[in-house]
Parts: sequence; structure tokens; C-alpha cells
Amino acid sequence: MSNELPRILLVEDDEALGCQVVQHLSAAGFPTRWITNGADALEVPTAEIGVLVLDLMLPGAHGFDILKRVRAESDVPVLILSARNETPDKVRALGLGADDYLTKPFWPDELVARVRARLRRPTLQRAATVVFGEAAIDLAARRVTVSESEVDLTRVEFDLLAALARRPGTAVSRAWLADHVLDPEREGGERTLDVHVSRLRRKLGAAGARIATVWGVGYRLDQGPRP
Amino acid sequence: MTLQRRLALTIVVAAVPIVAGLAWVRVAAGRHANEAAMRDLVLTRAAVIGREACEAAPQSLSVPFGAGARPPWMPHRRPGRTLPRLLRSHVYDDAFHATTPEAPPFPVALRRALERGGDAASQRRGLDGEAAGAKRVVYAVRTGWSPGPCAYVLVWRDGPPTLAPLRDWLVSLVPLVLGLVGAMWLASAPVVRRVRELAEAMRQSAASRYETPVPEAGRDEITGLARAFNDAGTEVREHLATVERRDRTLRDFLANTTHDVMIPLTVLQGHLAALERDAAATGRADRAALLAAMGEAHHIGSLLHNLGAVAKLESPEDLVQRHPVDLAALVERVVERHRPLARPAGIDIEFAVPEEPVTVSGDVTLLEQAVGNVVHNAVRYNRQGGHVAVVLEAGRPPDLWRLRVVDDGPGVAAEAIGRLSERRYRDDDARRREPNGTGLGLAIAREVADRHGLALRVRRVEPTGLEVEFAWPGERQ
Repeated sequence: MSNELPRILLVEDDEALGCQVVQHLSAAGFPTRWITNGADALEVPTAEIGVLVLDLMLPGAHGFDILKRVRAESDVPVLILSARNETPDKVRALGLGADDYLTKPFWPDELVARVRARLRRPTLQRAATVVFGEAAIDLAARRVTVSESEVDLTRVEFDLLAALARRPGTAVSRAWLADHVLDPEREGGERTLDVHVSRLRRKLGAAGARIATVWGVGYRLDQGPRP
Repeated sequence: MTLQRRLALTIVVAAVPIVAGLAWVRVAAGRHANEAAMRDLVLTRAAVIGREACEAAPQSLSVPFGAGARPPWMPHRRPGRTLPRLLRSHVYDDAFHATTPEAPPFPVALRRALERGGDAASQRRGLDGEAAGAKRVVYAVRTGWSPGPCAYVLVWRDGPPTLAPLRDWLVSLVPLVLGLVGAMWLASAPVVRRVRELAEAMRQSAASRYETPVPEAGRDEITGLARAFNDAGTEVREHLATVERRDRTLRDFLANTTHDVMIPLTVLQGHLAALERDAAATGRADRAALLAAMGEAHHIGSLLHNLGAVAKLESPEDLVQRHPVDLAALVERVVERHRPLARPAGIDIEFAVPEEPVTVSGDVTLLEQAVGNVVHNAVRYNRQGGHVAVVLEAGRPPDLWRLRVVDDGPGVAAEAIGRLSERRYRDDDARRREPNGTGLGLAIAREVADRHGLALRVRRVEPTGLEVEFAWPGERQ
């Protein structure tokens, strides 16, 4: 995995909170620059910002002004820290191009997860081939290989795997899979889905374990660390 | 300025132009009458003398105006008044040339007036060279004997004190105006008294918070005013009652929430004290106590957000906003918020959203608080190794969606399910029956769901656990 994590610009006027946020983002591996004054934040060249974590109530300049200026020049992810938990603030922030917001109080891990989520976008896998363990699925050619040798899958099994592979690392609900993958004429129901999943796991061998059952939800394809 | 003074002033101010106009008409009419009388006098004389005699000796027409001759239009003598006298007279030919050498030239203004076709004209001025301000009037009369030397006659009159009759007339108007003012004053007095009484009644009504209405006697505009005031008072009273009811709800809720916040805060303080004591003694901290402390801190934050939500739901203005809300993003935010709490406690929290976007029109803060409350309960009352799943499912069409929060925690007793479903946070007595404010978060979720037209269903999950479902559309849609 690349060590080149983007630079985070944190604009937060509270000393204690800012200090803590910097600690947690740095611990998560993000190089973080912290500015307490809105006017100073307006001076930062947009090119130096990888992710913007922005408080709204700031001395010097309002967070919205900083957001507007950054959005005029760049598409970097912007995460708003909202202390007031007011709907108009959120709607306005999203309208001005913010990607997401976080309401105070928040957990450090929550902030890190949200920053990572912003960097992961778009969620849908655009790559034609998704690799998981020794297995790989070519979505365009409808081919699945395990250790370079092709695996013979039924249409339902392939569609099932493709649905999971389009959003690797994200759980997909059983109802959604049953709706979109199973043939409604012949086989309905989530029980049938489970049967298909266990067949698919068996055909994929060791890589089959990458299809995780998610309690109460459905299934998820875990990519794990890339080779 | 009082009403009566304003009315009196209005009458006086309105009288000034009217009187001035009447005075002007009166002066003009008087002057016209004088001219006509002089014309009649001259023509009568002319008829007596005859044209030929006159043309032979034009000056014969001018006599007998002599000093002391009384003008014919003043038949009545009044005591103390100087009568005007006719001074002299001259005859002029059709070219306005004098027929006698001592006659002055014909005044230009009078000549123009006659040339315009009048029979007689006058000017309040003597001839050129006479002392300015002399009270004299010159009359010019057409005889009709044109052409010839007896075409026009000028008559000088020693002017009467001309302003005196006008002044008399004006003085006679004063009682009229005073009478009008007096009549107005008398007529408006009862109206003013009723207005004052009504104002006093209004003040007393306002002091009684509009409980006592003002009297509505009579059938005129003042009664209408009283009725309008009573109607407005009724509305104010109803508004006050609504505001007070909401205020009471909010105050009770604030008091209850303060109570609810104090409990986890006390527990948190206890945990922190224990942690400090253990750390001091052993240099290590008890992880279970840390986890519990985190849970309490999270719970306090949630309670305070609920307070904000209730303030919004109870506000007399409709503060519930309507904007498109991305439910997938909302679900992700809520789950990520609770993951830092669930993970160290050994509780697995997962979510799934459909590939296609699911949007609902609503208030993102309230909806997030509603879903967050349900997820918070599911995490808070779960146990190590437990699960929480948040699943958003789009139907067909995708705006028929449902959002399920399922857990395998201890759940609630069957008989409590109904109570949980029906709970209102306003029923604070009922709220207290539930330990730890469990029902409170769900009650707020229910209110939010109602406001957004969503269904909220609570089900037991076998063997243990609870499922709470938000669904669009609600039953009443």
C-alpha cells in the first residue's frame, strides 16, 4: 500500500479539540496541518490541500467562505465539523459542495473513518477486474479465475459474485441480492440465495472464504491486502 | 392633539378658503351692480336729453353731477356712514376723444373693457396724476350713440369706505363658524367619551390576559372596534395557551433530560474516579470501566441531541425542514458514529445500502437523530459478541423504501413492545417507567417518523433481539 496519504488541512478554532484531532489523524497516518483562524485558512493555496476538515464557526472568516473558495478551485474532499447540529447549516454546506459532515461530539475513529470513506469514493468499483485472494473476476468478460484457471459458474452464481465485486468491502443485503440476482420466475427467496452462495464458495475454493456472511445484512466480498 | 381639538381646527382651517371665496364673489357682484346702476342712470339721462341735443352740446349729458350728488344705488342711509358723492362727468366721442378741453384722456383699461363689448366698466383708481390711494372710482358707460361725439361717458365718484360692508359681512360670519365648532364639540363629546372608556376597558382586558372581554354596547363603528378587539383578544389568548403548553412541554422535557443526563454523567464520573484510582495503584486502567465510560459519554451526547430535536419538534414555528435527504449517506454516518463504541465492546455493527440512491424529503438532522436513537439503543443494550445490522432496502419503485435496524441483544418483553410503539415523549410519567430512558429515543424516533409520514414498526426477533423499521410510505399514506 502506498504511504502517500493526502495532506489534511484542519481548520478548527478550539485549541483542545484541534490538538486532539491532529493527534488522531496523524496517528492514522495522515499528514495534517492545523489552522485556527478562518482568515489564515483563506490564504492556504488549494493545491496544498488533500482533504479539508472544516469547522464552521471560525474567527476571521466563516467556514462557508473557505468552502466556497476551495470549491471554486478544487474537487478535494471536504468534511464539515458541525457543532450546532442545525439542518440549514448542513443543507447549505452540502449545497456549497461539501462532501459530508460530522456532528460534534464525534469519536476520533469516526472522524478517521469518514475521512477514509471520502477518499474511497466512488464506492462502485469501476475496474473491469476485481481481485480477491487467488481469485479474480473479470466483470466485462464475465470470467472468474482461481489461481489463473477459469472456474465454471452458473449465471446466477456469476451475477451474485459480480454484485459483491462491484462494491468490494461493502455489505450487500440479502433482499437486494435476491431481487437483482435470482431469476424471479423460477427461484425466489433468500433461502435459495444462501444455497447459491454456498455453491459459489465451494467452487472458489480458498478464495470462497472471502465471501463473508454479514449478520443481519447479507454478504460481503473482502479483498484483503492486495498482493 | 385630542380628537375634538383636531376637529375644531379642521373646521376653522376649512372655513378660511370658503370665506375668502365668498368675499371675492361678493365684491365682484357689488362692483357689477354699481356698474349696472351707473349705466341705468346715464342711459336714463341720455333718453331725457336725446341724441341730437347731446351731439349739439355733448357736455349736457354730464350735468347735473355736481358735488354732493348722491349716487342712486345707495337709497338707504345708515348712521355713521359717509355717503359717496358723484364728483364730475365728461362725455367722449366714438374714438374716445374728449369733447371738452378740461376732460382727462380716457383711461386705457376702461377703454379696453368697453371695446371688448361691455356696456359699462369701472376702475378703482382716479385718473393719472391724482393722488394715489384716493378713494375714487371711475365709471365708463356706453351710450349706444355711435358714431358721434356722445358715444361714451365717464363718471367720477368719491368712493365709499369700500371695505366696510365686507368687514361687516365677515364679522357676521364669525358666530356661524363659532357655532359650527361648538356644535361639533357637543356632537363629538359622547364619541370621545366612549372611545376613552373603550381604551380603559382594553387596558383592563389586556391586564387580565384578555380573559375579560370589553363591552360591546351599541351598533356603531365603536362597537365594531370593541368587537374587533375582543376577536383579537381571543386569538391572542389561544396563541398564549399554545405557547404556554409548548413551553411547559419543553420545560418538562428539559427537566427530565437534565435528570437523564445527570445519571450517565454520575456513572461517568464514577468510572473515571475508579480508573484514576486503579491507575494510581497499579499503573493500569480497567478496560471494562473505560468502555463503560465511553458508552456513558456517548449517551450524554445523544441525550443532548434529543433535547435539540424535541425543541425543534415542539417549536410553534414549523422548524422541520424539507430537503432531499440521501438515506444511504445517512445510514453510513449513523453506523460510523456507533462503530467506535460497538467495536471495543465486541459488538459487530454492519450496514448495507442499495446501489441505487434512495432519497426522502425531510429534515436530515431529525431523521439522523431518529435512526441514530434506534441504533444507539441497539448498541447500548447489546452484549459482547452481539450484532447490530442496519439495512436500507429500496422497493420498486425505489422511493418505496424501508430501513431496518436489527439486533440480537436481549430485546424487550412482549408486553413492552406495544408500549414502546405507542410511547410519546410528552407522556413523561410513562417515560419514567422505562429504565435508562430506553423508550425516550424511540419516542422521538416515532414523532420524527410521524412528521415525515413514515411508518415506524417495532418487532421482536427470535430467539432474542429487536427489529425497528422505518418505512415509506407510512400506513396513512
